[in-house]
Amino acid sequence: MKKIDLIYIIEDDLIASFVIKKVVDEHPVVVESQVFANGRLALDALLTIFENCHKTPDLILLDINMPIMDGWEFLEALSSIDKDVSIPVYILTSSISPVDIERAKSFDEVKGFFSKPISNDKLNKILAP
Amino acid sequence: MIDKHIKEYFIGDLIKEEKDTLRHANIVVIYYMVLLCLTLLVPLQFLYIYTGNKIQFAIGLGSICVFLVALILIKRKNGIYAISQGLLIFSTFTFGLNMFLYPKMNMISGLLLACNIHFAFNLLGKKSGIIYATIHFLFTVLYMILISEGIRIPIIVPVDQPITEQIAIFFLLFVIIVVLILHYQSAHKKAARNLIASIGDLKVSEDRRRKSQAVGHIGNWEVLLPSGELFWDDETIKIFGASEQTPIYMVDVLSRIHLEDRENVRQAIQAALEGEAYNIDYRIIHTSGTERVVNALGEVQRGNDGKPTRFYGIVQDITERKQAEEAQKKLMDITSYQNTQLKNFAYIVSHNIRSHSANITALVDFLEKSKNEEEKDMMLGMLKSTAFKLDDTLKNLNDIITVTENASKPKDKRILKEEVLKTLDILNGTIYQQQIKVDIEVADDLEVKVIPSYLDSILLNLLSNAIKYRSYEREAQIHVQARREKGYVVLAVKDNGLGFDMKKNGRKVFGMYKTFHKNDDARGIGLFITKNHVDAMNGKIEVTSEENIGTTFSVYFNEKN
Repeated sequence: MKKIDLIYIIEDDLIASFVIKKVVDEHPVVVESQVFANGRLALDALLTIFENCHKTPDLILLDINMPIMDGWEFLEALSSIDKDVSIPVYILTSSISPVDIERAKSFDEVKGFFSKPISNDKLNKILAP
Repeated sequence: MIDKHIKEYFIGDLIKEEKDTLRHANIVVIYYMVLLCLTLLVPLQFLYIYTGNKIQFAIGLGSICVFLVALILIKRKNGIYAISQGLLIFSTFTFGLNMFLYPKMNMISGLLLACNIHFAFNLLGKKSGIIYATIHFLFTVLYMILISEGIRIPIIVPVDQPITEQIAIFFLLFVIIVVLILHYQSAHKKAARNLIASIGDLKVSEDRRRKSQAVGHIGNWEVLLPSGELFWDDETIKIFGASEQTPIYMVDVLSRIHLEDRENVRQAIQAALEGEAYNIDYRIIHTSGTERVVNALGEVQRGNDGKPTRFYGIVQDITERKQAEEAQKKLMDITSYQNTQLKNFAYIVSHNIRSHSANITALVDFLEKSKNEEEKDMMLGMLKSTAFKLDDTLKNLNDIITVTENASKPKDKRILKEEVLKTLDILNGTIYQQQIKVDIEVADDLEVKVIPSYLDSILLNLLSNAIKYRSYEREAQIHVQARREKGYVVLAVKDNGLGFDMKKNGRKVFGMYKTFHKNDDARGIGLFITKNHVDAMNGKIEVTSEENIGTTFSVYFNEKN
C-alpha cells in the first residue's frame, strides 16, 4: 500500500471527528491527518497551500451536513479553484438518501460515498481502491 | 338561428317524400292516359270493322300490346298496390271493350264492374271507392236507360255515330277524370298528412334534443364554408352568454375566446380544415364577465372536390368539471408533496440517528480495545455526551411529528399584541440583561386565527432567534410590526443582528439542521419547526436578510381558514 502523507478530515461533530481521526491515525499507511470543523476552514487551509505551492493532502474525508459551509458548498468551491492537482474526495456521512448519493456522483472530485461509522474495512477500501 | 336551419335541413327530406308521393300520382296519371288512349282506340277499332278485317285486327293487336307494356311498367312499381292498379286499368279497359263488342250489358260486364269497384277500394281507399262505384253504377244505369230509349248524345261524337259509341266514350272519359281527380286529392292529402306527422315527430325529437343538450350544457354550432356564415343554437348562445337578437360572426366568436387561447383555437380550426380531428378545450369570457371553460368537438364536411363545405359540431361548458379536475390535481400535488416530505423526513430521521449511533458503535469498539484507564474514561465521557445528543435528536423528531399530528387542531382567535407581549415576558431576563431595545407596532385589537400552541412556538422562536443572533457590534434592536394584507395578517419581526447571505442560504433557512452561525446553542431545528407550524395553519413565512445588517421574518397568518 502506498504511503498517505496527509488526510483532511472535514467534520463538524467533535465525537465523530475524534472517532474518524483515531481510526485514520491508527492505520499503518497514514502518516498524518488534520481535522477541520467545517468546509470553510478546510477551504481556507487549502487556499493557503495552493498559494504557497505547499504539498496538498492526499485525500479528503468529507462530511455533508455542517454549519458555515457544508460538504456540497465545499465541493463546489473546490471544483471552482483552478489547480494543477486533483485531490480525491471521499464522502463520509450519516445520510443514505439516494438524492445525496446522486449529487455526490456529479462531482468529479468525489471518488466514493461511505456512510458512518468509519471502519478499518471502509478505510482500506478508500486507501487502496 | 340554427333551429331554422335544422328545420330546413330535415324538412327537405319531408318535402322530398311528398314529392315522391306526387310523382307517384303522376305515374298513375300517365297510366290512365294510356288507358284513355286504349279506350279511344276501341271505337276507332269499331269503325274499322267496316273498312276491312286486317286493319281492325292490327289495331286490336296494337292496342293489346300497348296495354301489356303499360302492365309491365306498372309491375315495376312496388307490390300489390301496382298490381291492383294494373288490374283496375285492365278491367276498365275490358269493360269499355265489352260495352262496344256487346252493346247490351252482359254478365261479364257486370263481373268486371264488381272487380273494378273492388280495386278502386283497394287503390283509392274506402271513401273514394264508394264514390267511384256509385258513379260507375249511375252511368251504367244511365247508359242502359239511354239505350232503351234510343237517345243519341250529339255533343261528344258526330251525330251519325251509333249511340253506344258516344255514350261509352263520354262515360269512360268521365270515369277517368273522376278517378284522376280523386287520386290526386288522395295523394295530396296523404302527403300532407305525412308531412304534418313528420313535423310533429321532428318537434318532439327537436324538443328532446334541446332538453338533453340543456341538461348537458351542450350546444350546436355550424359554419358554412367558404362563406363563414355561422349558426348557433340556443344552448350555444347561452354558453357564450350571447344575445339571441344579435347576429353572430366568426370575429365575435374569437373575441369571446380568452386572449391566451385564441391562437390555439385558430390553429385547431386550421388543422381541422386540413383534415385533423377538432377537439379542443379553451376558455371563453362569458358576457357576464366570468371566465368559463368549454370543450368543442367538430367535423368538417367536404364536397365532391374535397373542399370543405360545412364545419359543424358541439360545444360543451366544462367549467365545473375542469374545476373539479383542478381541485383533484391540486390535492394530488399536495399528496405527492407530502409524500416526498415524508420520504425526506425518513432520510433525515435516519441521518440524525445514524450520526449518533455511528459514534456509539465506534466508541464502544474503542472502549473494548482500550487498555488505558484514562483513555477509557475519555471514551465513556464521549459515550455519555453522544447519548445525550441522541436523546435531544429524538426529542426534536418528536416535536416535528407533533406538528404533523396536530395539523387538524381547531383554530382559535388570539389578540396578536397580547401574545407578543406574553412571549417577550418569557424572554424578559435576556432582554433586560442585554439591554435589547424592543418596539412593538401592533394594533391593540388585531386578531389572528391560529392554533394557539403554534402561535406561542412561532413567536418564541422568532423573537429568541432575533435575540440569539444579535450583533455585538451595536445596540440590539427588535422591531415587531403587524399589518393586514390580502386575506392575511402579516407579522414582521425585524432585527439588526448578524443576518446571513440570502444568496447562499436563503433557501436553506427553513431546512432542518441548517445553522449558519457558530452559536453553540444553534440546533438548526427552530425555523424548520416554525415553518411547519405556519404551513399547518395554511399560512406562509418569508425572510429577508443582509449579512451584518439584520434579518426580517414575515409570518402570514391566513384569515380565512
